[in-house]
Amino acid sequence: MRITGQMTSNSLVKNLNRHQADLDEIQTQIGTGLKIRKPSDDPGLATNQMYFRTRLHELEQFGRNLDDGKARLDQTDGALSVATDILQRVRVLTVQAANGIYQGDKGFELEAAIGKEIDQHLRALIEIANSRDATGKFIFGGHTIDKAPFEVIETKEKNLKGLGIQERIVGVEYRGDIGEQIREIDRGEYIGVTVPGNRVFWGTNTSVTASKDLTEYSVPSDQRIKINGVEISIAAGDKLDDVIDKINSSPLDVKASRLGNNNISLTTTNPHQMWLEDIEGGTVLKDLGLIEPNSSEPPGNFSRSATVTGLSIFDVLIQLKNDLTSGDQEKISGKDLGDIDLALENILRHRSAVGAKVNRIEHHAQRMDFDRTFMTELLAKNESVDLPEAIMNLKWLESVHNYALNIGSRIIRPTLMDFLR
Amino acid sequence: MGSTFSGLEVSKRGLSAHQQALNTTGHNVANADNKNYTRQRVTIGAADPIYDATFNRANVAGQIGQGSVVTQIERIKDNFIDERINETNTEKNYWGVKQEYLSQTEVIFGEPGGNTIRTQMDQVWSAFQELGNYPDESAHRAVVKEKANGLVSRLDDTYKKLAFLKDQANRDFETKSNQLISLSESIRILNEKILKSETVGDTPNDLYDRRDKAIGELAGLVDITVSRSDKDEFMVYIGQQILVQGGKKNEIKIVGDAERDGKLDLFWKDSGDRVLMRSGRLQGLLEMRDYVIPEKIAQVDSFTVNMVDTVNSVHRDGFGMNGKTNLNFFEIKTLSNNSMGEFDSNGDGINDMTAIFRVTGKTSLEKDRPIGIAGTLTFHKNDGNNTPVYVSYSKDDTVGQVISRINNSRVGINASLSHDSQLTLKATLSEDNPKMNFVIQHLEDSGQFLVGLSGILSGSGSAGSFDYRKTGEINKFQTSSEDIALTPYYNPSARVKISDEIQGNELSIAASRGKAIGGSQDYNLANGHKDGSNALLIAAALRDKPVMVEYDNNFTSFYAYSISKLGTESREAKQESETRNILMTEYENLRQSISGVGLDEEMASMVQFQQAYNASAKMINMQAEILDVIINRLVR
Repeated sequence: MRITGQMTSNSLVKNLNRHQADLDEIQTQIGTGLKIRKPSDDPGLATNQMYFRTRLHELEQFGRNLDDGKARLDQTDGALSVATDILQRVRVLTVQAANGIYQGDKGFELEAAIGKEIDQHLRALIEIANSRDATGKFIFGGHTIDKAPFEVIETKEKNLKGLGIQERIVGVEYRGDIGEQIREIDRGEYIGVTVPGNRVFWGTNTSVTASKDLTEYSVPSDQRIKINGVEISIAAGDKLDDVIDKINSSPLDVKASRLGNNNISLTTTNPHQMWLEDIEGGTVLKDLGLIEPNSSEPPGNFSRSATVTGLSIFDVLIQLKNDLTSGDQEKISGKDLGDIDLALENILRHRSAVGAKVNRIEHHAQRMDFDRTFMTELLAKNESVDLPEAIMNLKWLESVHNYALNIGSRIIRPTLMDFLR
Repeated sequence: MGSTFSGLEVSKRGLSAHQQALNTTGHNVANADNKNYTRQRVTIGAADPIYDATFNRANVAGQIGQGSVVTQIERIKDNFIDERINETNTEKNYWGVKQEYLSQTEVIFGEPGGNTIRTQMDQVWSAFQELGNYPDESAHRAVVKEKANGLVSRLDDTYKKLAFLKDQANRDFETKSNQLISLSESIRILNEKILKSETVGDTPNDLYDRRDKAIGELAGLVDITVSRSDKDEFMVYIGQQILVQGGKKNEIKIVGDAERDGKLDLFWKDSGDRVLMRSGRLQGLLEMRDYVIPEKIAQVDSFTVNMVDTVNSVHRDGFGMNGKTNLNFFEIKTLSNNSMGEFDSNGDGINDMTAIFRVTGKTSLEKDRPIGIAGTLTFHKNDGNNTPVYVSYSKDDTVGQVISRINNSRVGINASLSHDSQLTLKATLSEDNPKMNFVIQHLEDSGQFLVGLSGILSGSGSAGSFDYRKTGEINKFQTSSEDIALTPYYNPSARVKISDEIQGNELSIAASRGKAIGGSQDYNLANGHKDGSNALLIAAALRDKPVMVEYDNNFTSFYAYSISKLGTESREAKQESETRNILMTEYENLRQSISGVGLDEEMASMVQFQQAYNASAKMINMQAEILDVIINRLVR
């Protein structure tokens, strides 16, 4: 092949340019520490990187959600632990009162003293039930924060000796709702981090028994009802037994049953307040005689003709105090003690549930940490330059470039002209 | 017997021939660095000898050589290589311009490292998560607002930069088209000059070179072929169309299309037909301007529209801390001026179509439950021909199966289940006309799937069908207007903002779900302030919930698909253009090897010609001495 001067210089220049470009590329790689800076450098890797980065961002957020959720659960656990202590003390007092050891001449007064202590415990429990989080919001009110979850109803009355006025708690009403705050801890995975007060601070099972005879009842149209916030679809033409079946087969801690008078009864399977709602203009629960036809929202919308039982922890304590005041030995040792045990058991049950959630969160956080490390590693492998290799390449390119320059300077110079005189 | 001076004549010829050869060598050396120069070679031939075979010839032994003459000065050239080079140059420019523009597009998107739509989306997602954690705190509401503003301005910015790039391609196209026109004119003029020279028997080597240079430049712009078969008519074609024919040329005019934002195109002046190109810089620009960049813009648009709609549809169902509901989070200008979605598509002042982007059914469905009914759905493809597509369903199908069947048939409709498990039908981008983007074309159900089951259409059969080509079609839907989203105005990514309600009062951000009070059909009262579940629903819809964005499951996968497509296109262009570059180097070296000026060679010939010249001069000297003897010495 015939080689001309322009060819040699062309290929020299081209090679030098190529080296410069490669050097520039590798220098930027070392400078930024990144292997790819544009999708076209490696579309597959770039897409992976996007996924990894987004996932890392996500994991950070889920990590924050977990931390926050755990803090809330820890606080709940703390409050419940104090409540347990108080209830245990109340239980000791009740057992003492039930034993009758305080009976005798002074018995009446001692019982009154116990009654007074219990009154203080009741107030302490209410304070716990109305405790607030770091930002000053109530933690046991479900989604409600604009008012205290438990409202105390007091009467003023003369004290026992007829001297002075004292305030007596006659009832405690729940003003919160059944909402549960949730945290997303992984894609599409949610965990509840609060417990509504009408579950935790409840003493006995709630039951509602309607008085209507429902033999002939059939549902007029497709409707939906809500029990404790869970939606249940009822179809047109459903009979009483179908409705009961549907309630019992839904994920609820409420059991429905048909009673002797062909009426319906709903009972909770663990202590909590029951919330019944007809939604979207439905009338099923109203027709069944469970809720009042034109009543407001739950709680307290049970039909006036229905029999409702179920006590909150505060009701249990108020009842105990009253029984102590009236000296009803039989009720103290029987129903009251039993109810206190139930209440205690309920709080412990919630504490263990909270503990289990904290556990789950901790495990999840561990897994998340692992994921994060793994993801970071993957990202690093994907996008980071292997420095030793890059520096080796740089050195290699540098020497190749030097050789090229060296050779270039030699081959360009001599022509025949140098030798002609 | 020869003439006394014949020896002088022979040597004189030698002198002038070699002088010519030396001149040409000088010409070669002077053009050693001219890239488009073809080395020339002087062919020296023997002059006609004496005597001719005639009766009056001298009766001597013959023939007697009469020295040398320059027979021709020729270019050393292989036209075949030139054609290869032109062909490769065309492709090199085609891929080169694509690479330029795609690489700029990549910079606009900024993936994977920069501040991009994706990172902004992540931020918005995070902000909604935090709002879910602290729905009662206005600080977190303000963050949601600011992050959403950030995403909106990033989308707007991306759109504007892409639109600018498209305009730049158009301007570039105009410049290069003008270059094409002026190059074809110079080729025509050169053809004339060359023909004249050739007619008088010359070989206009330097004009040939100039013409080859012009053709080389032309080949970079457009795919040309050259025909040299007719010696008198040098032809240049674009594809099969004649551009230059000898001294004539077909005029090309650049025409702007007002209908398509002033896009320029090339037309033949005589026939009025479009200039058909297959490759070259012009075609590359055309493809970038008409397909590639618009596709990217459409992707950003679709991302925007779907994001806005998804957030809005969840947001409308939630409640703000101030109890407000049914508010849009984002605001986007709609195509139609009225709430019926009616629009005047041909500009005659009368509304003639119904432009609806999304419709959501009334009934909550269960994805895995068999539907128990059978029938056929009819859709029209969004391709300008309204090609009908039939999707049938039978009673054993589940809702999920019908949904994926609709999506898989790519009818311009995306089906999915909403956050309330209602069937949602969304329009996609149009296949051919960007003005028909996000318009539901036709919905028809022979049975009850769209009617009784999901609660979208009021009636079955063609009587109950929805068709965009009529007005008032919104009445065919069962759903209230709150569950219908109208088609956005053109280029939606530049027209999104946070709605005034939210911008003015972040308490209106609907973080919580509601409850139905007083036997009403709908949620009408907010849950408590601690309820952040709606914010979490929005977050989920932005991330992994299957909300269907252009047949892709969710935003993450749609976006990743768009970026990896861009990356692949850009990489292909880069590789192709690199390959062509290498080929070009090879071919150019080959051409240089044949046509390039080799200085050593020229020096050698210079020495050779110089010696020959010297020798001829010596011959004259010798002749002079002989004559001196004859003229001066023979006197005595």
